[in-house]
Amino acid sequence: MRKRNAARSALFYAGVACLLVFFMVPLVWLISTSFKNSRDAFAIPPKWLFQPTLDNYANVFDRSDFFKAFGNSVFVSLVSTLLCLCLAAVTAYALAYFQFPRKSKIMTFILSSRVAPPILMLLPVYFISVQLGVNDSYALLIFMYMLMNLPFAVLMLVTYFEDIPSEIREAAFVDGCSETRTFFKVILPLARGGLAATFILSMVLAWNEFLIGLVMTGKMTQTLPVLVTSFMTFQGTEWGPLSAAGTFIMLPMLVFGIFVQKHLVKGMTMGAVK
Amino acid sequence: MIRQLVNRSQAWILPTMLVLGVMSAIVMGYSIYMAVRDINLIKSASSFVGADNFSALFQDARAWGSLSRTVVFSVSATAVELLFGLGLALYLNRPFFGRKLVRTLLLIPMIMTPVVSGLIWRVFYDPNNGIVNYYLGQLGLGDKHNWLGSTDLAMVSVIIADVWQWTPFVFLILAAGLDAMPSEPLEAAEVDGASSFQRFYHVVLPLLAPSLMIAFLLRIIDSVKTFDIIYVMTRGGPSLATETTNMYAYIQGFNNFNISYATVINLTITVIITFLFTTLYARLSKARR
Amino acid sequence: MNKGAKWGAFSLLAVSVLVGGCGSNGSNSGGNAGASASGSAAGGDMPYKGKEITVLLEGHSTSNAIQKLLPDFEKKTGIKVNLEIVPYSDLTSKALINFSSRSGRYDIVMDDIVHGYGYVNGGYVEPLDSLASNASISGDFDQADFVPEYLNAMKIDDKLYGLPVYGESTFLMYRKDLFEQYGIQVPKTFDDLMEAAKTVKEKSNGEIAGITLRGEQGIQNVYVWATFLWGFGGQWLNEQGMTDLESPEAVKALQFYKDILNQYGPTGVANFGWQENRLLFQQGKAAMTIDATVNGAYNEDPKESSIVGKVGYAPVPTQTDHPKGGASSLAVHGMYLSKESQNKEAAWLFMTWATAKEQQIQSMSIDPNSGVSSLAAMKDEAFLTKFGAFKDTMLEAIANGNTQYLPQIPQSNEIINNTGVAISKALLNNKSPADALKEANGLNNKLLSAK
Repeated sequence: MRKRNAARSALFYAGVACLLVFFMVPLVWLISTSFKNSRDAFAIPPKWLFQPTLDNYANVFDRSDFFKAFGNSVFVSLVSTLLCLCLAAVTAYALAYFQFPRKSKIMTFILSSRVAPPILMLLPVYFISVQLGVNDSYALLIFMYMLMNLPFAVLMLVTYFEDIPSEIREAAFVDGCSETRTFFKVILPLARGGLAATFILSMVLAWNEFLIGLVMTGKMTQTLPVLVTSFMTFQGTEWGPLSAAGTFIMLPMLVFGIFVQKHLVKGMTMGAVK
Repeated sequence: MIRQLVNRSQAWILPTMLVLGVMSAIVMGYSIYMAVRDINLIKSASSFVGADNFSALFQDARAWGSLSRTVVFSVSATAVELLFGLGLALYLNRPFFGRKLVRTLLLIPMIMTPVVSGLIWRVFYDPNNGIVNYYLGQLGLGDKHNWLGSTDLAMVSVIIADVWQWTPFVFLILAAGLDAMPSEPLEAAEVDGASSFQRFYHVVLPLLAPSLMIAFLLRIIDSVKTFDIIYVMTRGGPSLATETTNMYAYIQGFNNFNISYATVINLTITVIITFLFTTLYARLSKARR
Repeated sequence: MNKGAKWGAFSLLAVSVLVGGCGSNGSNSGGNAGASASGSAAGGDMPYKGKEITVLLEGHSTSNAIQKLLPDFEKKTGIKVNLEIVPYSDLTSKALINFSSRSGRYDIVMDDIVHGYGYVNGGYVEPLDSLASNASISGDFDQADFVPEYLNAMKIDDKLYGLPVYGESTFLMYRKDLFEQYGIQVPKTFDDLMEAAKTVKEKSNGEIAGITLRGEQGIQNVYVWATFLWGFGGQWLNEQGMTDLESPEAVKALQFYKDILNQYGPTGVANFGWQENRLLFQQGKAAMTIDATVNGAYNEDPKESSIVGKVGYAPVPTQTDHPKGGASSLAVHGMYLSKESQNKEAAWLFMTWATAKEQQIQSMSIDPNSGVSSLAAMKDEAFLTKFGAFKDTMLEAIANGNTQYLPQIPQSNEIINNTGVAISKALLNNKSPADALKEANGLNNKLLSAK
């Protein structure tokens, strides 16, 4: 019996290992390439052990615009995500708990505003922003990213809110809480796992967004993905600096992911409710 | 007074609706304006052409081909991601050593910049210098697979890359759904002697339905819009085998500079998809109740 | 209680960060305005001190060098230069969107001459002749130092529209050691080329591909296929200005391209871009390739290549003695001056400085590339040691380079795209070369006749 259990658990871990290999290899390759010279980078058979070099990082950090772009990315994606979450939480709360006419129509509208491809939105917004003289500004970029993530954030938060039993909300009313108080002090804390999950997903999308960034940003506001792709040149891809910058661009999200992992794993606070 | 306002649902919905509504109106209005003109960036002036762009679209075989490839790509990528993500969520939904670490590591593909991961996959798929063929060769599975260079395999290869990137997203949503699942119904089912398949089918799946639905909707909407990885992996080639509508619109707009025509393509696909989704969404929401 | 306060603080923080962001942005531009005011007052021997220009560059080794050297220019002239570097593939659309909205955001744009025709046609860029004849601001401008073919390529209707930053042609690269081993002569015609490819593939038992060429749909495959188009005696445009891709010569060129690659080419060639093609050759897995002259640098770089010193360079083969135009390319990238620029003189100072020989020579030690447009830089020690192996053949190819190698009309991008799809369809046997070209020709002519 015990032997069978051990065999089963070995099998289970082998499965986990296979999954990890599939999902991790591109990352490992990217990071190792960032420490390789170009000949090692494309050697076959692949070299997993090699003489590391820091040249690629030196090359990237040497660029005067790299840390500026890094700062821009942090600022723009953080602020746009926070704003988006504030708006989305309020809306999702109403959609989850209130009964009102045309609710499903509103839900459908929010959903469908996510359908349009970004190019459709890009040109009108760009031309108008030039007329208004607000192009190449943080505010425009923040607004665009907030807009991009808003429908998604509302939708996700609605499902998280719906999972909180409505009895809890009613109990808060019985205790004399107002609607706003209930929202801030009862529902939001209970949904913090969902908020964290929505936050990181929106953040990642804004952080990695390329096309809007390419068209909307200028020297002042250039974001990291735009900078990273400038290593894709007429003469092909400069893999050395690109992999170094690509690794670097991932680090904050990775650290961040690990940080909110606690919330993601804990998920909903159902345990506390029981 | 304020209290009354706060208690009215409109006040809660209004900010988002205002932002989305105004922007949609502006974007739609401007798009229609562009759609009925012949704006091309290499010409300094444009004129009114009415519905010419639309009639050109109806006769454009490349556009219709791209639409059918969009359907193939979106449906298969989403289906695989849902199945794989569900399997993953169920597989890892048990206490084991290193669970937290594994879950964190699984987030990585999602975090990677799509342009960069597309480039990585392109290098991996290289038939002569790529590690995919190399390791398949080592395993005795042949090392001459023409991943991105043949009409049959190119779409599959791109879908694999998309599955790699977005399965973790589905996993995340479903894992959160599983975590939130009350344990009583499952325990009750176990007491009643239900088999593990019965428990899954009759208890877990219905409880997971909202999470599945949101994962499905988000993925299918986003997969229709997939651009970055196709752009860097194949640019829609070879022989148009991976050219989705979004890719074709990009080529028309940003390569051929036919802004008006690209807008018409985008408008048309947006209308088609919005219609499909609203219908689908209405069906799904009804089914849930 | 505590939680609510936390959330309140959270949103407050968000708002304050946003306001702070806008504020700092505003004060930044205020700072610049202040600097420019005091700058013009200081004047002196820096007449453009305090001016600010914005330059859009493509991601390229030359751009890296310019970026590194920029402080010298700013110190010398007092002009503030904002560089924006974006990928080549997105550069033109970004420039055009800005130009067409008359935003005046970019004073200078660097781009390929293929797109230069679009800029000129749209009336977005300024002829440079009057600036060039103003001696007081042309101290850095030395016409005679540019590779003459490059500078000529920048002229449209006898007006100079750009300054060449970078240029290249195409040539045949072959493995001297393998040719000797298998007793092959350097191909002069396409029949020789086919024969050589066949010999290598057969004698190496399929281990080494006879030839590798770019197959990726779009500019990639068109850039190399055009060698065959011209070499077989075809052309892009006929006398009436319509496309001429249905001609027997064009069909022959595509049939040949397909045959040689499908029979003696490497696996996966249909998705080969510049990078895949170059890697395969420099790893010794193919005996020949026809590609950009800058590839020579990669073949001869021991950090990249395993075939250093084994590569021979020759002009591209041709089939006919009477081609309608040369079969090697002339691809030139230059800096264009926006018509909307508020500081044309300052921009001109920058353009001439960035392309002057001093800077190009310095770029040889910063981020060397064999595509420099300065003759003096080509005589530089660093250039000769790195690129000496193929310099002469490269210059010969440039001298024979065909400015019409790719169609030089405003619509060229779309024509290239349609043709690239046709080549890809033929390569994958989805359509016969004749049918594929007929389809592309129809699309091209529809485009050209639509005014």
